[in-house]
Amino acid sequence: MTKLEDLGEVISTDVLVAGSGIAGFPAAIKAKETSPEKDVLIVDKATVGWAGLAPKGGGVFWCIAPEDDLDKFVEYHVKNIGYYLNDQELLYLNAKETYGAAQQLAEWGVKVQRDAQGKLLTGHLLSSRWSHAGADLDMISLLSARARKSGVKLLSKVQIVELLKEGNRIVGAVGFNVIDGRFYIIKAKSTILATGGLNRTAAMFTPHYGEGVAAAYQAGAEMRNAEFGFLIHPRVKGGGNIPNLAFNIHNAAGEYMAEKYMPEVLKEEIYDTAILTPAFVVGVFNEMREGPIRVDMSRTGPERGGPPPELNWNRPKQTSYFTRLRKLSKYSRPAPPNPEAEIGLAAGCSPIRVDHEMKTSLEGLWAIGDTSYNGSAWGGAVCMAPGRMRGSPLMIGLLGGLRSGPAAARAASQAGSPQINYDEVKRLKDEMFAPLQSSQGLLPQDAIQELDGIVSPVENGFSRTKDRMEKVLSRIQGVRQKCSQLYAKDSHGLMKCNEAKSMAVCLEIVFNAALARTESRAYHYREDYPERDDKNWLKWIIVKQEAGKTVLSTEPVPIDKYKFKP
Amino acid sequence: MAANIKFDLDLCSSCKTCVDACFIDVIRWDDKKEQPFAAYPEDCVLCLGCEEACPAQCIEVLPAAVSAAPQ
Ligand SMILES: Cc1cc2nc3c(=O)[nH]c(=O)nc-3n(C[C@H](O)[C@H](O)[C@H](O)COP(=O)(O)OP(=O)(O)OC[C@H]3O[C@@H](n4cnc5c(N)ncnc54)[C@H](O)[C@@H]3O)c2cc1C
Ligand code: SF4
Ligand code: SF4
Repeated sequence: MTKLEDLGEVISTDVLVAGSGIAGFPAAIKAKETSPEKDVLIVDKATVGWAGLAPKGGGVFWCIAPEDDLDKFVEYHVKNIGYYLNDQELLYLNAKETYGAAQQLAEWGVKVQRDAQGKLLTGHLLSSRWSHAGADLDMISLLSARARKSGVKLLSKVQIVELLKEGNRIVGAVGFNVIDGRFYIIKAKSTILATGGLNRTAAMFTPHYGEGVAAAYQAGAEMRNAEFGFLIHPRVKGGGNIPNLAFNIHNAAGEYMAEKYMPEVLKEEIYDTAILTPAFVVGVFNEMREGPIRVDMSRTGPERGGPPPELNWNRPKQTSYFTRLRKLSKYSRPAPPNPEAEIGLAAGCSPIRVDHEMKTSLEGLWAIGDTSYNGSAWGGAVCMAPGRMRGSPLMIGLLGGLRSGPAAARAASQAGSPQINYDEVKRLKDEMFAPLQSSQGLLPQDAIQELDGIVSPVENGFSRTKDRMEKVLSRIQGVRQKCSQLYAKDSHGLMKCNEAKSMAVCLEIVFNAALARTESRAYHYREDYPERDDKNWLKWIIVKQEAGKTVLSTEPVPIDKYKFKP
Repeated sequence: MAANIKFDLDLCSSCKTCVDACFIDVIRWDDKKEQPFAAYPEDCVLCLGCEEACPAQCIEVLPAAVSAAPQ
């Protein structure tokens, strides 16, 4: 008799949370605290308690204070940020729950900043229209301690590679230990994906190759708003860091670009690169074709980014870490005076479609944080986290965790014991470990570099035409096919193989959706369809995989039932 | 990216914190020598998380092309 145990380590749990960041921990803790009788397991390919992006970030999060005007916030967000592709109900729900969510974080021991009376310290950052709160960067280790205390089980250094299915229901996942290569079969009645999206913004987003997204897609989950995932921003041509340079760009004729293309933003004195309007980005891109655009440092906006003095945040971990990071600037090449600028872009997506409880289109599967930042549609037609609102990723991760945890635990009560097919698991295992069988072929790092090379030229990733996108898509598919030749020397290399494969799948989702959207909206700019087309395109594009084939469909945004209409 | 990751092993207390702190598995543990080592420096993204976490402050991470911090 064949037994699953012969294939690897078998674990059974009621709720599996994959990914231990700011989304995964709240999900796991809340699942356990609302259903203490349930087994909850949190797994990460890094060390649980140290992993995730939150300990490396700014620690600033969106938090609508009781005195903020909720309607005004939602209206602005729908009209100027999400361009009517928002799920307006979810946007309201999120906004309403931010304050309580921040309080929950504080109750769990996270050092959320408070005033002398113990009230949450919220305030407008210089760059922002909306309130933010802040926490120190040890939030993940504190959440980890809380999770452990609540009885959540932790499993480190296990990369989740594929989801397990029983009919159309997700019943857990398989993966392997990245240190010793042990194969894991995790049976779960409910699975929550909190593994981040694809994000190629900066090196520190390195664990974000969209493995959870790719696994969900390959299991048949629907993706939404994938075409908007890429982040677009001006940068110094040839390298060199100038903070806030978008607000210092002039065209060849000496005109000030921000004044020409986004006067409304300047009027409000918002100097935040997250707020760069599509009109500005497209305008600058077209100016670049007329002649070099330059950064003129004689024109500067107010300092951006730090908390206003009245917030008086006290975050020793954040101060210490950012002071340390400053040493790196000594090694980077300084930008020359008044350098030439260009439009830069970072590939990314976080498109898993979820409902208001963060459940995907598949039974037994939830997706939170950066896996579904776009797919939840709260933000509309925005790029991946931070979308066009600073401080939103941490809060969106937290909110998704708080909602999905109890929902997943409840669903686990209704679900029967997962029935796992031995042959299927054996097939997944053989496929997963295949790169270790070869000593030559394609290195995962080379596949990742090739994919970056295909999508990062502006004319491929940002300024889109049907012809160019078809070529890009076919090149991505070429790399995806070549991934069958990936090889790895050890389990660390095997982890990278799965990252490369996932990145190819994510990019395929993005370009399939982008080809289908025959209009320009937000940072999805089609040279062949340069106008926004509300008549035909108040629709979400849904991409999914059925029997190994990509299936695209559209779904009208239910704008009639929403408060704000074009 | 790649880095030059140096451990001052005279100061190291063998606490393994750096292995946990590295979120992309660059630092591994040498069981025989009971000390950390940079197993995959070519993958290091210079996040400096290990430096920050080390209780003995005995790790120095530099870009691969640099051998010592500027004075
Ligand atoms: C430098 C920087 C500054 C930032 N500043 C801010 C800020 O001030 N405010 C804000 O709101 N946001 C900020 N962000 C963004 C924010 O930190 C992230 O968007 C957010 O933390 C993502 O949370 P998450 O839980 O969805 O994903 P993550 O924190 O990335 O967690 C995902 C986890 O899943 C694990 N994982 C991935 N794949 C697998 C797999 N296959 N199997 C098992 N585990 C896996 C990863 O190791 C990781 O631990 C910043 C980010 C950076 C890098
Ligand atoms: S700097 Fe970051 S990536 Fe490099 S070894 Fe240290 S923790 Fe790992
Ligand atoms: S964290 Fe520092 S003291 Fe601890 S094992 Fe690593 S190098 Fe040694």
